[in-house]
Amino acid sequence: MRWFLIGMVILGSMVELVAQSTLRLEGYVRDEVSGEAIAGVIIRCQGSITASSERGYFEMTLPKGSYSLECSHLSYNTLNHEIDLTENSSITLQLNSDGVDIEEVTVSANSPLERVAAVQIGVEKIEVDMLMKSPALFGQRDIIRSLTLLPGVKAESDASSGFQVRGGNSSQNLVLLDNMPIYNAGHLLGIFSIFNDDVISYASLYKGLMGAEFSGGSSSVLDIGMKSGNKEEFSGSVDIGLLASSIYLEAPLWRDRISLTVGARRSYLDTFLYFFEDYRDNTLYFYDINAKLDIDLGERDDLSFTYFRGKDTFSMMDMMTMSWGNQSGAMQWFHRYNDRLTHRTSLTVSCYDSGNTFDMLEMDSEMLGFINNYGVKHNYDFILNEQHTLKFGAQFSFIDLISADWTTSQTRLRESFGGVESGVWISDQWSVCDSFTLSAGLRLSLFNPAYYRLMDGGDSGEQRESYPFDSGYLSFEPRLTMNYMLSERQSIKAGYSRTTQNIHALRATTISLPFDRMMMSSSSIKPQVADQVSAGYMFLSKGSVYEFSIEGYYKVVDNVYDYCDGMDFTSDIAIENIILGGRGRSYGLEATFKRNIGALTGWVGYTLSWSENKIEGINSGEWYASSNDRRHDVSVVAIYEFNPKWMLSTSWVFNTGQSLTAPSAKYTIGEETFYYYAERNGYRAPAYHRLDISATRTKRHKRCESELSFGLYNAYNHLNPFMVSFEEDETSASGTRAVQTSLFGIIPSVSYGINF
Amino acid sequence: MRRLIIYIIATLSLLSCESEIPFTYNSIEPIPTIQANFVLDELFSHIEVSISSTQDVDSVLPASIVEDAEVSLTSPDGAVFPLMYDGDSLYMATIFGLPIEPLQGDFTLDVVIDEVHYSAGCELKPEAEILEPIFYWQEVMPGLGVLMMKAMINDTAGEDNYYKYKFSLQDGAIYQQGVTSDNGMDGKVLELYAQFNPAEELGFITISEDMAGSLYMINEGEEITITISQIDKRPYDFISTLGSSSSNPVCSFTGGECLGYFLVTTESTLIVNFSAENVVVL
Repeated sequence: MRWFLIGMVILGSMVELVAQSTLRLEGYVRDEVSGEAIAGVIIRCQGSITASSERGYFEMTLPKGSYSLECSHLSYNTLNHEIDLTENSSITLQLNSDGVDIEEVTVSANSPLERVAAVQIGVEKIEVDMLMKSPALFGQRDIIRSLTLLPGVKAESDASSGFQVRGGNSSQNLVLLDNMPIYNAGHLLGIFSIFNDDVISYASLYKGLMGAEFSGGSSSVLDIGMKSGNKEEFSGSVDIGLLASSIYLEAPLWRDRISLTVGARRSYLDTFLYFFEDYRDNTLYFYDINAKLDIDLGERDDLSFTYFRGKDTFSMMDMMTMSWGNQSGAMQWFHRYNDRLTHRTSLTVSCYDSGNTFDMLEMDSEMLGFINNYGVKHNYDFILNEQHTLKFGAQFSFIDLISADWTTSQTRLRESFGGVESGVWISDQWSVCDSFTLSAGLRLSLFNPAYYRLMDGGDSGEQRESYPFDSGYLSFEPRLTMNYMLSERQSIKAGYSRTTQNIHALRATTISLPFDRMMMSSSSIKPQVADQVSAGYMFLSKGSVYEFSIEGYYKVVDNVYDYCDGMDFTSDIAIENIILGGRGRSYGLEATFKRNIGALTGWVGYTLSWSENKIEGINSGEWYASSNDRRHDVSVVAIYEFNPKWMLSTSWVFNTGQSLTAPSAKYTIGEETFYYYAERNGYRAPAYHRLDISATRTKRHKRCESELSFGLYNAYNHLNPFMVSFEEDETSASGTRAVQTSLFGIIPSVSYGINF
Repeated sequence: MRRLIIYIIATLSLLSCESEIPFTYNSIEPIPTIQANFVLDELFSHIEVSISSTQDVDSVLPASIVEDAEVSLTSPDGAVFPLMYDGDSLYMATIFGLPIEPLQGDFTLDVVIDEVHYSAGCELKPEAEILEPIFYWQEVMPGLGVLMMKAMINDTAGEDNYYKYKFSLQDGAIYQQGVTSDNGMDGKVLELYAQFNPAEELGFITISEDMAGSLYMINEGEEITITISQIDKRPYDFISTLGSSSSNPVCSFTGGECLGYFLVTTESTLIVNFSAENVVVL
């Protein structure tokens, strides 16, 4: 760590030593009306091109002289700004959207040109515009469900907010909201995600190949940012749906200086229960609250405080209660030292807890679990010269985790972990020549398990086992991506990445549930280490109307864990007694064809993939398909804007059947018949396909805009497999039948929203 | 703890529907299935070994029987007792009541099928101490409730203990059976529950008509037999993992791929008569 700090000081001092033959131009791009930062604005100047960041920030290095900056964004009028550059300068560019033809707004606000030129491979920048237009379940738009329409990303099931990326499972994704880790992103057992789309500013999904500043997800990182509020005037929106309603407000507390953003959402199923006397004492609801205070401390500093709370409760009288929720907070400080060096420091606290209690006939029991993460992250961006942009920083977090805390009327069992995760990184984006860009980074991650405790002994809570660890796990994580521009509209990309993950989830079933048992690397549970290589080609037609991309990947993951035969997550309080570790691999091909501009926009995505595990003690030690292995995955999204008032959007998804374990024989013990399983995940469930449609009417009023949406989820009412089970059947000669459980048939919905 | 999964599935099932689907099962070579129960007590010792093999999932039961196995029991003192085929998949001792003492150490069962030698060991454990059961009734919804019997075992402190239990009805039929352990409950009273459907004249109304249909209707004065035996971990592992979702039970035998357990027990029995007067209303 000492050497890292010394290195940072040296790099800081180098800023002044860089030759002054070129000048630096930097600034922010903002909406002329709301003052909000605009991301993805393309800024061109004499052959140089850059794009504004999520904060609207951009920077360029130019020789002394007079220039005309061209600022373009598909949702705004193009701005030409003249500047006389005689010294390092900072400017603010304001774009307006007056008179922009709505048909020019594409499904993707991050420019296609930017996608072609970006050095990072395997990243999907999710646009809130697209999210707002995609069909919704129960009238609730959901960023996670939108993600699953992208190639390489699959939904776990109809009733799960979990998503699977390139053969990984949902517990291998790191989800960040303003740098706060979120450990269970589901409401209503996962039917909806906890992310209220009103408050989301941006979302980027890194499909395994990520910058050196990220670590903790061996499969992917989903980085979500909350909106900074309007510093100019009061604005907001209200949405009323069948299942839940939400409100979103932005207010300038101090004009141009401080803004407050608040978003809240609550379901009202319990309100309906109140009308039935027998169910009046039952509870079923969820809510979430997002708040962000953004303080502009001048040209050099920006401070923000973010708070998030999400909660679900389901109870039947006083006998049974299930609840789970997240509570997180973050403070972020952005500082610009000088023209070339900026830093962002984040202090985060993230807590997730789940519990269920049962109190009937003296069989009282309680099952709890929680995870608390206290972290600090310090990241520098340093422009060394025209060719090199460096990122470096350090991260430290303490994690306190209870895997399970089970209490009955007579005893209490508890398993807990503690650990410290730390990391330092440096990366360089090097523009080798006009057509070739390289991004190389190295991250050193260290995980020190602090304790492992197994408590047993009933009411006294006696400690059965507790021991400190002699050493931690140090991992070197190289990150490398490169982009070779074949022309302005074609590029070839490739990359390699190693990532580690120390927090693991042992899932209750094949889908993620709020009550998954979490565990952490310890002396017996090793960190997951994923190595991925990927390569792809991207093509953009003239005018950026059409876009085609294809990417292949191969990934190997060490220390994947699965249940021993006959075990489930409640079989033993000591988690190491019920799992076995081994190796996983996944590989595949992803292709996307997009139409970016016009009345009809959308894309067709196709994924061909394999995902397998090999664990001694399971499946005779042979490779077997992982539970989320699906061979073909197709998604078609089409958005048609008839006129400024009416828009129709549809999505169709098709997946070949997910792997499942089914019996290959049967036998009798006593009077009962049981099944013998010859191979884990050796069979396939039926294929999944679904069509969703929504139509939205937008009406502009004098002071506001209203939106009425009609939706059909699973429009042709196909019964998709949620679960396949095997049971005795007295009516058939064999005495056995396969039964498919399906969740949602056709679901109509309507919602109404007002933006003001 | 499995109740949690049941709640979740029950909650999701409110939104779900079920349908039978066509399914093609793979076919595998038959695998031997061995069930060996050896009950030892001071007056009478009896061993019964049932050997069959697995069948294709879509084949018609009953199970295919293995008639030509070589089976023998070895006591901890080294005495070997061959078992002979007695029909209906059963292998029995050649004499009625084996002259075996309840010795410490492993009893061993050896089975040879088609020149493959399977072997399992099992230790005889002390008798379990059964406590007097309690009946409860609790209203869970307006006008609806559950009637539950709580049977209890007094666990011995300082060791890992495993138990097999069985609740039998007046006509001898087994109503409920299973295994449990003192994991996290060392030295405490272990509780086992069985739910019944009370006869209407007793004044209790059961939880729902659907559930009542699957429960035994108990009458005043009816006899319930509680049988409990302390068992070795090896048969416990098999029985407790039997019927696990999508995985095979932990087999007690070594020597080749097979399914089964070998259980040596001394049973404790308690007979109770149900009385509505003694039901504790919560």
